[in-house]
Amino acid sequence: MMSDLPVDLLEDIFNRLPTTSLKGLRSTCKLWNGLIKRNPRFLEAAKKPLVLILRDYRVWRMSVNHDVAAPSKEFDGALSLMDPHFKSQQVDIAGVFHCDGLLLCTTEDDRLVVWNPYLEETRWIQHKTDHKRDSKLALGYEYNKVLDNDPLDCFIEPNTGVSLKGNTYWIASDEVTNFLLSFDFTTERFKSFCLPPIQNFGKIVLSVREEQLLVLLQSYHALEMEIWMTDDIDTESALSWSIFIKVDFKNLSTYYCFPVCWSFLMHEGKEKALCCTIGSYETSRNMVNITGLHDQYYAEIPDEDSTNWQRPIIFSYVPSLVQS
Amino acid sequence: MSSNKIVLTSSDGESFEVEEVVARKLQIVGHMLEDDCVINEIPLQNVTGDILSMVIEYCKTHVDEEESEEAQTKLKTWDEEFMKKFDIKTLLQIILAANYLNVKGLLDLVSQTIADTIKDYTPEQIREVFGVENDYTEEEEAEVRKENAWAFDEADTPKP
Repeated sequence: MMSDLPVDLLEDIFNRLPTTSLKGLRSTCKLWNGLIKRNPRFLEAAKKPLVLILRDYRVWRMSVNHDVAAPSKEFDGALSLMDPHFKSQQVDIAGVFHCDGLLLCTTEDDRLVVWNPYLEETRWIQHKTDHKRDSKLALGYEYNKVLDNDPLDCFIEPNTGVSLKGNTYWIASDEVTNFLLSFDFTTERFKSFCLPPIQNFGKIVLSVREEQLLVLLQSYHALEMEIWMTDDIDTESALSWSIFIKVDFKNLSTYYCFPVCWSFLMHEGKEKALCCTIGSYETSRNMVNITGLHDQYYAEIPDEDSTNWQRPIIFSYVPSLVQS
Repeated sequence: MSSNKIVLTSSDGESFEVEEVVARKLQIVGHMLEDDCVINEIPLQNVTGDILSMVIEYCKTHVDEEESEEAQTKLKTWDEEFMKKFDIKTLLQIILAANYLNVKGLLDLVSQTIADTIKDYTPEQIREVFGVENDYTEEEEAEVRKENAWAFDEADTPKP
């Protein structure tokens, strides 16, 4: 039997195979699948951003077709996060924070796990104090512990955290105004920045695209939605924001039930945003909305299968070999 | 280089008398000779006589690797013909032997030949040839086969 072919010899053979063959050989056995996924050439070919979405307590791969008159979406299967205590049982995921290929998940039963879904590796985190539902968690570079956040004189909006260049950004507010709060993992310092200069917005959410930070502002009164962006996130001074998308909902519908956007991302290579909302103009179901840059394009795709009110979190994910 | 002869003995007791320069192509032998230069007979526990004879044939042919383009082309043609003699199972035994005996050139050659041979194999064929056990459940295997998210362009191709 040859199953004892040393791993370095197998890897050498894999390195000489065309990438399409590598893909086909993944289902040979678990060892081969693991080796192939770690193969730099396979990873390079697989390094294509995926749209992932947390809904129904699972993280799903999602594909969206937005190039036709009737846009559609498809959930291509849930990534399985297995319970270490009950084999073959999946974990219900309550929240997710994404940083460079790793997902920091809070579970419905209040556990914490760092998860690399590409490598199917997990690290369950023991936390000293009881992890509270309302604590905000984030993951940064060269950081191997989870900080319980220090007492701050502000309120951090839940589920607004995003990671950019290893630092974390949230929407926060104090008694006076909303602002952008950052945590620098190298200096372990919080810092605050101004948001784009518009008033009376209701819901504010963040997203990242390459090295840009994006902020979506919804005004319930004016029935407007705007997406602003900034490049110079490394700055010490005020951020310079520029407007990117503006949609005026007054012209789009006679309904005045405003869909609240909980998360969004810019679609790769397209001047369109994918917004995950609860509620729509016509129903109160979860929706994936596509909002275009040009022509006030706006389309709703209902999530008929969603059986609950979990706030959907959408993000762009690129496979990585980083250890969890 | 002296024409000192060395006897290589396989795990099943077959002996091959070869010139020292040929034996030194097996780096495992080279190291032994450096450690103690009076060895004349070397037992090789992890390789059978039939496989060892192929390795020796390769080493004899590659003993004087000339730089000239003509010689290189000739060797390359010889390598190709040499590899054609073996089925995949023998190739897998040769690669193990080349790894154990540490014959770099042969290792590269066999590795490439195996890759060329198996590139269109189905997972079932691979399992049979490599003696690999399928440790997936039916559902898991279906999932891996179906799952294309981590691979190339299918995941985000617009649906018709």
